[in-house]
Amino acid sequence: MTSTTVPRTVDLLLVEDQASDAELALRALRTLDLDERTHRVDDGAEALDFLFGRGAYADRSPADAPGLVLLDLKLPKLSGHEVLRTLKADDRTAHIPVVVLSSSDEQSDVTRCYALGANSYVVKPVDFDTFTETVQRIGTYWLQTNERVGQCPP
Amino acid sequence: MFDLFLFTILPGAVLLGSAAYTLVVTYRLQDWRPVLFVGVLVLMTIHQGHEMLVFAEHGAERALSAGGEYPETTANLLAGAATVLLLRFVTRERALAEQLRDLTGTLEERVQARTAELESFAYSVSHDLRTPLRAIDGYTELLHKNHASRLNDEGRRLLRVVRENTGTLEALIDDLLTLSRLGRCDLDKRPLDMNGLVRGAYDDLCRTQAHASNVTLDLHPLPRAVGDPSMIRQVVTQLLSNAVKFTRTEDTPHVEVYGTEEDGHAVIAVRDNGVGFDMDYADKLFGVFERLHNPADVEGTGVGLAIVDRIVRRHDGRAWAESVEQEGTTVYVSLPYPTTANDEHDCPSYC
Repeated sequence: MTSTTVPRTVDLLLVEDQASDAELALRALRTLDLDERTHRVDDGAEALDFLFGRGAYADRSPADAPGLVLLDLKLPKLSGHEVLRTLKADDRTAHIPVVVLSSSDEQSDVTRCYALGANSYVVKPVDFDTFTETVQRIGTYWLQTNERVGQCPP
Repeated sequence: MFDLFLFTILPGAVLLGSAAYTLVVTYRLQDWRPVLFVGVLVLMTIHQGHEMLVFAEHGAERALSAGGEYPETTANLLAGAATVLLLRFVTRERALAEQLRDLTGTLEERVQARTAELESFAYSVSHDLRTPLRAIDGYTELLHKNHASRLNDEGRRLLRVVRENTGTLEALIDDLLTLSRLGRCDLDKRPLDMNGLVRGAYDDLCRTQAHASNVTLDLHPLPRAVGDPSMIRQVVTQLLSNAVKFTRTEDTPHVEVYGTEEDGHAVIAVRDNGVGFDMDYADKLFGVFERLHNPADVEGTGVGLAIVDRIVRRHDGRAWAESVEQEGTTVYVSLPYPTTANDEHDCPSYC
């Protein structure tokens, strides 16, 4: 686990095992003031723990859904595909938008992710400026433009 | 004994259809006198080709199974021993031949499996290389943006070199991925409108490469061809982009695209009046990472023509080039010409 303190409201769950990619993404989100409301996990199992309120995240509930999951595909323990499958197969989490952010531009990966219910698939640009711009565009659209499912009343 | 003879000679004659071989059988089964037997052995030795061995096996099996009827003479024992030896030899030979046939049969399959393995390795390595590359690009850019003022000129130059090389490495990885993908994806072969493809690729180049619109394109009517439209488009784009690249220093850059039909193939030629290359190195032209020009003069990864070559070969065609230094280069690709009624029928109205 990378961040030991979970922000009070998590708008964005960043599932990324590469520290450098995570740092660059958080830097890009800082411009939008989204970095403070982003929580990063570095493997697939922890992502599911976070979303389902299990293990180290037992104090959380699936109802505290983030507005967006930014998901890498190549992850330790559980792959991004497996996270996506579990997330979209469960009624409590199926509504959470998942944007796959992967180095792979392979058609088989793209097709598979959409089949598993991904809301969007974005290829991680190598070029820093393009990467920053891409992450910001994702953040702006999914967290500021897109309407999310309202949280269930207590 | 006579029955046995007839029984044996028939398959023998049918098998080989040769009087000479039939004679061998006759001697072998009818007469076991040492002289004749030696004659048989000599003949067998002379004819110890592949067919003879197969035949001897038939004869041997029959002879062995009827062995009890032979008079117990030394010659016959010798004959029996020789037959057993021959039989063993033949059996081994046949086993090897079968093995060879099996191996040949599965060779293509195994080569394909290994190629796929290698390509998937190249693919996954290329992907994994992108992550550290993104880090190098990102962190050097941050260094440049946030701390460049604290660097002197030399420091800033060094940083720029690192960043330029990151760009080169990214292009290389992209090209390698394209190359590895070409071997894996299926071909969607259709009749092609080659003139349309060339025109479209040229228009695209004019939008992306500033120099392209300075080039006069002379496009002649091209023969029809069959191929995967997106792959052949890639070939055409690569050839035009090379022509544009290598005519950059010309006062009147000129590219001519023409075609001929040869032996059931459509040959498309792209000729430029650019810098050309030394024909001594022509065999290196289509290799991966082979460059015939200094990167300081002409940019590129050295993968472009390897991609062209691979696509064209997957279409059962070939690519080659002719050049004169300082006068220009002509690159040729051959593609299957539409031959079946189906190919003609599917041809879109514009071709």
